[in-house]
Amino acid sequence: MDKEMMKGSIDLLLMSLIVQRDLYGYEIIQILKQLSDETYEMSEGTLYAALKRLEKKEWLTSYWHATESGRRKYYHITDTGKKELNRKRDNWNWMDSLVRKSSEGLI
Amino acid sequence: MNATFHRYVKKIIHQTDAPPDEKEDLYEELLIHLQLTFEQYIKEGYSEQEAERKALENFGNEENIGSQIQQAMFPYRKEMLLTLAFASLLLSFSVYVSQLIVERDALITWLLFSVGVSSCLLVFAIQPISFLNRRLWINCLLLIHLFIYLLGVGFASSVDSFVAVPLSILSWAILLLTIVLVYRTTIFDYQPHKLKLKKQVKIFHALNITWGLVIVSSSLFFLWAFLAFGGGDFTMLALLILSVPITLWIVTYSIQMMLLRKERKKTAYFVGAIPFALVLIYLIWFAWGVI
Repeated sequence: MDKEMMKGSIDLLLMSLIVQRDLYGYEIIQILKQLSDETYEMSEGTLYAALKRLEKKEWLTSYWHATESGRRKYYHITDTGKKELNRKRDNWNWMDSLVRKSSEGLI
Repeated sequence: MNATFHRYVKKIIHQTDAPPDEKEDLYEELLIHLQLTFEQYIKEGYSEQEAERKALENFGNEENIGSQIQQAMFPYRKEMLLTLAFASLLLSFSVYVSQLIVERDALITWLLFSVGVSSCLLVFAIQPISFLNRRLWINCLLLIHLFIYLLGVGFASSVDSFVAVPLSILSWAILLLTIVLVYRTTIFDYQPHKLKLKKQVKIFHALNITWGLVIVSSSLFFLWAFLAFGGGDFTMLALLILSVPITLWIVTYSIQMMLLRKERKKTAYFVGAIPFALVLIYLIWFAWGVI
């Protein structure tokens, strides 16, 4: 996967995952690797920078939670985050359909 | 836990300006991540050394990650500080050179002070110094900078040449940027998790900084008026004119922040109103005296 493209869409990816259930950083990486058939290649530290950024924008909040194997820091999506996610999804779909049409359109 | 991981995470944290509690939080969070990756590789049959190397490799270059996290937490802070530092240095040298050319004499003391404070800002912008309380230091430095460049406005506009106009504009722009940075550093850059009254804290900071700017500048003005027209020497009275309002401001500001930390909003508003009330009483008293 193109790294530049990945950077642009990391917010959308993270929020799409976290909206389904609260997750912690390591878990997110595992899910992304699995979903991408091990082709996810962004450095893991970048994930935390992205999480911090989203938290600062108040689209995510975080809390510590004790699990059987130790404390984990979970991320939770806020109401403004959900709205933002919808907006980003719309943009993505718009782009996606435009790309599709552009690849077929010229006859 | 693994010593290499500790060192590595510490390096990342050192790149950021986060307040101590947030640093601890991030430290633990990143360490847990590395540890989990490490354990996974061990499970997959890698040797300890290999697992360690791979965990770090996946995480990325520590300096790079550190500056990414810093940029995420404090967007454009570095750029703004750099702009301020370079613009200030440019002004200092330009004013000095123009004075030299036009008047064949120049104020080397101001040059030294202003270049000194701008260079400190430059250092802060480039390399976060982890062992200092960043917010406090940056703000102190910015206030000193503000004061020194307030004098700079005077020097810039008094150069007897057409360059006085662009120099003055530059110096006002620098003052404006400094004030913006003080507000930003205090209000927006730090949002401690533990405070419940986030919004109130922002409002109180904004009010108090504005109030502080008014108090300091009017005290300086009164002091100047006192020394220039009162024919007074720099006496105890002059010192009082300067120090009493500023001390009052600092004390009430800190009490308000303390009260907000304890979530006592009403009392904080009450303390915040004290200086306003005092100034009002003083003005009434002053008006009474004039009549």
